[in-house]
Amino acid sequence: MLQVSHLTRTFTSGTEEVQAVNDMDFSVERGEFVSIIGKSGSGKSTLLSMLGALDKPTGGTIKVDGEDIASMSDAKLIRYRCHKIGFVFQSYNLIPNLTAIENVMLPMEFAGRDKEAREKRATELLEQVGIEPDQMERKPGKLSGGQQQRVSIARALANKPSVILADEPTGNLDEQTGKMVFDLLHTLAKQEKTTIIVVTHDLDIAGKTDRTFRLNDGKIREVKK
Amino acid sequence: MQPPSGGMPGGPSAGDGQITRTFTPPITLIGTNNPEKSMSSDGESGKITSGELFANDSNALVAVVGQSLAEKNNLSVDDTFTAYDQKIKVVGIYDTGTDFGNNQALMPLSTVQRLSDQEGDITSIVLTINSADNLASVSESASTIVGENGDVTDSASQVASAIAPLENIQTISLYSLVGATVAGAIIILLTMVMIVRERRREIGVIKAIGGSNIVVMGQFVVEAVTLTLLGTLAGIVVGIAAASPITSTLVSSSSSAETSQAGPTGGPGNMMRDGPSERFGQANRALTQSISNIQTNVGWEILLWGMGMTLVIATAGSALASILISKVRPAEVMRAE
Repeated sequence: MLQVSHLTRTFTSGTEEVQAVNDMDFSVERGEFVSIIGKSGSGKSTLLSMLGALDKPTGGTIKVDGEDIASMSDAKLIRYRCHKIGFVFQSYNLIPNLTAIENVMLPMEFAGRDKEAREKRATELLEQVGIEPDQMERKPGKLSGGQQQRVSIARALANKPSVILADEPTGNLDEQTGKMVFDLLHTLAKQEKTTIIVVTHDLDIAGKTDRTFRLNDGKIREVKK
Repeated sequence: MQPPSGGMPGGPSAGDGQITRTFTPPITLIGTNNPEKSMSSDGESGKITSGELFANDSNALVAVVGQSLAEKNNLSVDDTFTAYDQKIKVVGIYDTGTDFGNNQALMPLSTVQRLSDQEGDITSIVLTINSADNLASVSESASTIVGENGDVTDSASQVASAIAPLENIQTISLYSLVGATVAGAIIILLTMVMIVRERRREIGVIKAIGGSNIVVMGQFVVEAVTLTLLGTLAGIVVGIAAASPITSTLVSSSSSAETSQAGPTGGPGNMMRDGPSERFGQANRALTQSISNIQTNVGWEILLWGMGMTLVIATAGSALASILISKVRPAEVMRAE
């Protein structure tokens, strides 16, 4: 379970203080598929950074499975990102020099799993997301956008995280491929009992998630369906 | 007696391009008490082709004539020629193998001193020492005796002069090594800075998916060391292949520079050669020629030094990269989206 209480993040711009996230409270159950919508500059990326332990909040708490990540040391945050969080980025962010399977194996290497186990798990995940065996040995540059995003989803699932954070996962894809990727995320959330938080502009996609939150000027509120 | 060659080249001309001789080139006449050594030329020992040499302590009116000079003047053994209003008897004809050496005549030292009213005067004297260890002290004593009346040149200074090109090469090599090391270090540092900047996003992604600073730094250190070692191997191969030709070229050009700096020796205005200096010159030329043919070898010690320097440069480059990597925040990946 993910629980956010009184979360605040303030940036200093020159002499002015900007509150990107302002006293935010919400919670998400395990295995829930949640979307966050909002205009540019509404604080979506800042919120996602803090949920993913990439950035530290100015105030408040973020509890994942009972652990407050806002007060963790840097070393613990690295372990938290490795074991509890999976990221899916809009522009995939695969490592260009590694093949698809090596990209999926990378987080497991950081988690200390042996090579055989990494290869087995990576192959299973890539098959699960619909990557063909010959495509597994290709580098990202030799894969289409949809295939790269599926590899990215497989990478996010590698260490069986509690939460997958997806930042505009369909933003760079055409409508049909975007729908396939969304369906894949939806299916995996149910199969793997993983909490998925998707930031999106696409209201169609947002409408298909279990719950939707709207961000506006650093404040969050749930959109009733 | 006529010199073997005709008019002097480049002299004044008149009429239908005919060269008009305006002066007679002098004939070299050497007074010596060691005729055997005096007829040596350019490192080649002269040999008597007919007749015999005069005795070292002779004071007779005799001469040994070079082959070219003898042919030009139709001289043979037992013929006479006139010098200083005296009839001089030819007792031998010699051949040095060079025109220059064959264009002179040798007479007993005391005879020449007497005929030319230069009793007690000498142009040069050769001292032979029993051990190289005594060279400096003998040279110093000779300088004291000669005083301001002449110069003392010893073989050590000739050797020093001959090996000057090698010392120049050594200096050039040392400066080149320091320059290459500094340039290499700067290139590696700038390359690492550029690589880290270009791969900032990748570094952020690795950190975002659970990679620690140490993991990322390790990757860059391995990359830097591998690239530098590959560069070193390529450099060693090229260096071994090019060392000898480059050294020869540098020695050769450096030797030429030394020679031209010393000024030309001999030439039309310098027909009288002093024997000992010439012999030093010959030794010097032989030594310089040996140095010009120098071969270089690259030893293990040099290779190990090179590898050591490489690792130092790679480590310095990696250290800077590591500092830059540690400053990349994973949150930047989200902001770049």
